[in-house]
Amino acid sequence: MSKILIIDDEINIINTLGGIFQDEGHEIIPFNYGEDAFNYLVKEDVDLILLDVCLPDCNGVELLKKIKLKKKNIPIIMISGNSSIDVAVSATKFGAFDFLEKPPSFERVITTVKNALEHAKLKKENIELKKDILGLREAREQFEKNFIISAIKKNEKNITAAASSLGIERTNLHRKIKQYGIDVSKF
Amino acid sequence: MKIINRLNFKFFNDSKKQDIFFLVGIFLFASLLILALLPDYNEKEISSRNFFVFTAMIVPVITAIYLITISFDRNYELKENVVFNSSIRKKMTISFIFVAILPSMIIVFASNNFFNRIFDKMVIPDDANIKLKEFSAFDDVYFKLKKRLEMESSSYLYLLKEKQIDFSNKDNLEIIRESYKLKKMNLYYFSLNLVSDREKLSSLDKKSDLFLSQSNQIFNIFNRKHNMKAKLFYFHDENYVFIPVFYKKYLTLFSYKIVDSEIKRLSLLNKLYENNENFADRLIGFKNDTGIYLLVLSIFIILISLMISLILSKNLTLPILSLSKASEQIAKGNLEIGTLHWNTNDEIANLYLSFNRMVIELKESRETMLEKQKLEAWHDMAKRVVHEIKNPLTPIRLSAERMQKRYFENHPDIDKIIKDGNDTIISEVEVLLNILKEFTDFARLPKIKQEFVDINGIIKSITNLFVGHEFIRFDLELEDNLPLMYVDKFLLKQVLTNLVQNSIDAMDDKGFIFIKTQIFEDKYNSCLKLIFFDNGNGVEQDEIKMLFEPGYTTKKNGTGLGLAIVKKIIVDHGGKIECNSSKKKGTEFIIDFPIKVKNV
Repeated sequence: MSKILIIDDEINIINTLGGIFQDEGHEIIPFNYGEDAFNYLVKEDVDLILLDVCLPDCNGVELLKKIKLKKKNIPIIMISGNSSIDVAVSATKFGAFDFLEKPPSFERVITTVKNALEHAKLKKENIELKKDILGLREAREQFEKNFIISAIKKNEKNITAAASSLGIERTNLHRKIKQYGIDVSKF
Repeated sequence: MKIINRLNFKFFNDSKKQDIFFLVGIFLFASLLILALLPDYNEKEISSRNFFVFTAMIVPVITAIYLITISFDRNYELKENVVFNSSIRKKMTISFIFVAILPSMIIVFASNNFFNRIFDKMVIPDDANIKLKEFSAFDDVYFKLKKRLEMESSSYLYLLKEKQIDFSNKDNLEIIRESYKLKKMNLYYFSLNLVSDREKLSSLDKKSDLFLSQSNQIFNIFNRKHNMKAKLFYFHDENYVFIPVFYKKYLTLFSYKIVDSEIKRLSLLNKLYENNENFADRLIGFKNDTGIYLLVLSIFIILISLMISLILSKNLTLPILSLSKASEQIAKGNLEIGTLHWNTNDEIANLYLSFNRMVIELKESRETMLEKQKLEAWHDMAKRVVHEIKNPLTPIRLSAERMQKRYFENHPDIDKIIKDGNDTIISEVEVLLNILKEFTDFARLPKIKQEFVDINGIIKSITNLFVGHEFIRFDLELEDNLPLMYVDKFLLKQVLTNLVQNSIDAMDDKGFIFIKTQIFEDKYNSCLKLIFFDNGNGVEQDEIKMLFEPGYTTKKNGTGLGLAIVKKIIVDHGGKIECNSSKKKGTEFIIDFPIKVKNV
């Protein structure tokens, strides 16, 4: 269940594409004009954007740039009747996920949208995992710091004894103390 | 009159015939002149100076006037075709005349001088003449003698008039003769009788009779004109001075025998001088004849050279003039001038050949250009159709595949899906059909059928269609002396209708349309400018370029073909269309039509 924003001036294209995604169980937010869609995006979040290159009020590629500045992570799929390489290249350069040439096949639409959603999902998961990893590392460092402090306290500020009790070289212990900013004299 | 005109027309049109005529005229003229100028071939009477001068002056002048008139007539004919005045021809004519006259003038003057000198040599030298004059004219003895004798004769005449002399009395006559004998004169008496209109001489006494029989031939010389004039005669081996005295019907002849040897010699010299003077007079006359002959000859040469130079310069400049005329036409954009022909195989033929080839190439390249423009229009149209077709194809394809997919998946909403899909497909097929219709409209634009039409009339007929329109006002500024234009009437009407419709669509409520026609002409180009202006909403500067592209439209339900069709029609006519527009102020279309002259 994802929110898919479709921007196209042809009502039938919106209906058909929307119908296809509704069949899959997605939520559809249709727009005929780029300006309206952008205003909506400022406030709301969506999972995927399908954007026609030729819009009555603005250029699709320009809109793509604008959206990318605001919402970096939403994947955008461009749709165009003009299959020229220039448009495709500039679209991908400005961060479009993929490029659908009119008339796309049903499979291509489904696959591309699926890929984009998957990609977005993976990206999201990736970010969360990254966050997790970062948290683990901090916890580990805190633990190591406390462990070293307690070892130093135990050995009454004798670094050499502390190092041997920790089972590491004296130089290594010195580096760690420096790294964690432990003030030995305080103890 | 009509027949004559037609004949003249035909005649002057056939320049080859005219050339022959011209040459025959010159030949006749020359032969006439030769006959007139060579007196040997004529009878003595005819070759008198008057006739000579008359023929020599009148014949060439009349012929020259005739030929020059023909030349100018031809000049005029030529000028009608050649738009500008030919200065090259004038220069050529003048230089030809100069070249012809200069040597002939030298010859005329030189021969005149030469003849004069020869004649002067033929006359006895001047100093000899003067001597002769000294001897004769101022010769006292002879003239005194002549004077004395004449005095005597006049006193005798006085006696006659006083009736002192009686011709019937022979004794009286003898006494008078005797009295004059003392003065060494001899008198002879004759009477003059009218016999059948002629005076017949008969002697009045024996001595006179004797004289008459001895010297009958002397009396042939005397008549009443020589009354009282002394005359020298060489007669019977002696020199005599005779004086005839006529009085009524009597003739008295005074005779004086010159014995003095010096007088004799002088009288001889006098005679020689008189002869000499006669010869000189003849020579002076001859000199004058030569002068007139040379004068006439020089006039003849000038006229002939004028004519020949006219012909030559015409023949030499004709190809250049027609070439320049043709190139002017080409510069104006009229390539339908046909090929130039030159019969002889010379440089001009080469020039013409190259020129013709150039014209053909120009024509071909222009045709290719037009073809290319048409092709571009088609290309634009095709591109547009491809683009337009893709839009409706997208929902058709997706709907069809969706229905198929969902059907096989046994989707719970399959009924709705099929209904929606079918609706979509049906409506999009409609769109496809519309596109096809537009395309066929564009493709079916009829091939232009050009004819000569009055553009102003067409403009008026189009604007009349909108007369009932309450929001539109038309301002027309039509050029009065517009030539008939070679255009397709119906397509031009379509152009104007499209433009007017666009203008009306571009107006919010009220507005006006200004249409102006104008002939635009410069050295290289002549065209009809049709300016079409409306005060509608106008378009942005960067939109102007796209206006003529098929499929570009600013209207909600426009096809985007109106101006594309306008442009296609104008390009097919070999014309140009430009557009100026500014937002909120209005739009202006400037259409150029090439002017084709009707007779080309």
